[in-house]
Amino acid sequence: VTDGRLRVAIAALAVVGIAIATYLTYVHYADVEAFCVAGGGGCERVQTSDYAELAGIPVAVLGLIGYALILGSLFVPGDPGRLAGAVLALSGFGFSAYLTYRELFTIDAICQWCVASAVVMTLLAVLTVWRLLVVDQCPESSAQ
Amino acid sequence: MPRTITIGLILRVDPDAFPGRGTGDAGIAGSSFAHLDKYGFSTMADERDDEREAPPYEFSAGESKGEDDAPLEGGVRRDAPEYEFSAGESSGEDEADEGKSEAPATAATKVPDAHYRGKHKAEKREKRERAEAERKARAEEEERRDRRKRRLRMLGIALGVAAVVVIVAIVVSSGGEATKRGGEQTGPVVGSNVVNQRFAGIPQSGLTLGDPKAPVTLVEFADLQCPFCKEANDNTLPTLVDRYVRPGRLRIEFRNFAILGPDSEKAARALQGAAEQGKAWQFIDLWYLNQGEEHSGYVTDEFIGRIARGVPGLDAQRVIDASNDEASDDTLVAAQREADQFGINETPSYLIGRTGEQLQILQVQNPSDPNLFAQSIDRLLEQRE
Repeated sequence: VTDGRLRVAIAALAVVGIAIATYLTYVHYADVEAFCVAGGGGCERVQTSDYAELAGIPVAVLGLIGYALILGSLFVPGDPGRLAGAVLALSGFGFSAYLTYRELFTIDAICQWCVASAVVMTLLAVLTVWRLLVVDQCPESSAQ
Repeated sequence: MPRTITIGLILRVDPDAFPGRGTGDAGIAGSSFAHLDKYGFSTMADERDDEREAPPYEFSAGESKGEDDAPLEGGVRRDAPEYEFSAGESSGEDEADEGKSEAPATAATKVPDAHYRGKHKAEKREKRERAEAERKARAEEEERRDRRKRRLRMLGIALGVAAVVVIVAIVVSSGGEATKRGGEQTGPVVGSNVVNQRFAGIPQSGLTLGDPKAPVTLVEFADLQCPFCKEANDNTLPTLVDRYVRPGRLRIEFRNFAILGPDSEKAARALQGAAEQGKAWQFIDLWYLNQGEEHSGYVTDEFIGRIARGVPGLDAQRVIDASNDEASDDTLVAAQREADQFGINETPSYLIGRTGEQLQILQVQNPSDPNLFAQSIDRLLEQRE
């Protein structure tokens, strides 16, 4: 796998993450019900729980910022860009894991959108670490 | 290609002219060759033509004394001057290139020398190339090792920074653990818009939600302080409202079954105050979304006021006043009486049946699963048709 292909995959996942986070941010601020495929109040319950905010900032907004920064890191050439992407994705993965734990054992509800976001962040963590460790980066590709 | 000229000329060397003769190199080397012409021929030969018959020493062209051949250093005769090669001799490279030498007898002593030099050069070149290749390999290996080290260092940095970020986030998130249980005394309640949208346009009367003519009636015995009631409400009410209540197929009656103590009774009286204003279900739903920990003392006038203010059109003060009026407990008493009649002693509990007919206890394995309610409701709806 070349660095170029990994960057494309990371960019695609980051865009999906941005879309999910944008929707959840809208749901939070518009105070409307999130669309849940299987019905039920899981999304609403998670979204209205206190874990939906971190220091007064909606978690959805933090996710949106995180995905945008991961996407932005792809345009930073060389090791700093790769390192930044990995740090962001690993942080997102860790916090997503914590929130999923809270969903399962504290809130007792699962939000499908949150699960989707957690899956995307997990994949991003794998790809960014892969990019950091394994793939040789050509100077030309980093400057693209 | 340089040509090798071999001249089978016999040189007669005057022993007097070569004082060092017979001792090896001394007489052949250096300035003793001053009397040789540019071809290395002795100019004395002609002068001493008469002495030809008994030459003290004779050297064939291309021949050298054995002792001269011996001291080699790096393939080159140590003391040999540049012009040492006389006619019949040539550099080893030339002979090697030609692959043959016509020098009579003397070639045997010179060709191996030249061959040795060529071979030695090739070996040296090979050795040099091998050393170069090894040096390159070492450099590449070192570079690979450096790269691996750098990458692992970067991974360490990434993991370290990420761990710090996550730990800080968790600490900040858990820092509000006390308020995670709900029951906050200040600030706006969560879910106000959602709740008010959910019940907009749906008729309410007292503690009853939905069209009075709906074919199916569901009765819920619940305590506003009960965490299981909250779970059931959060997970099933949105589905039941959207799927059955709003289309006019189901009506839901709430029973103010306050069984968990004084706080539950205060909450139940507050709900009665909201019911009198026709906003009971917004109040119930919003209460559950912001419910505090059971028996934690969160059921205060402040908390009740917060919930009431989250419902547009509801007079919060009237609700607070109702919660403090212990004589105003009509709905609590009625709920207790009906529960006794059906043998209900826990929350949440349910009755279901066709509207206007005898209701039956609804055993629900998991009150948080709206589909279990839907099955019973659908069955009753089919009976009607």
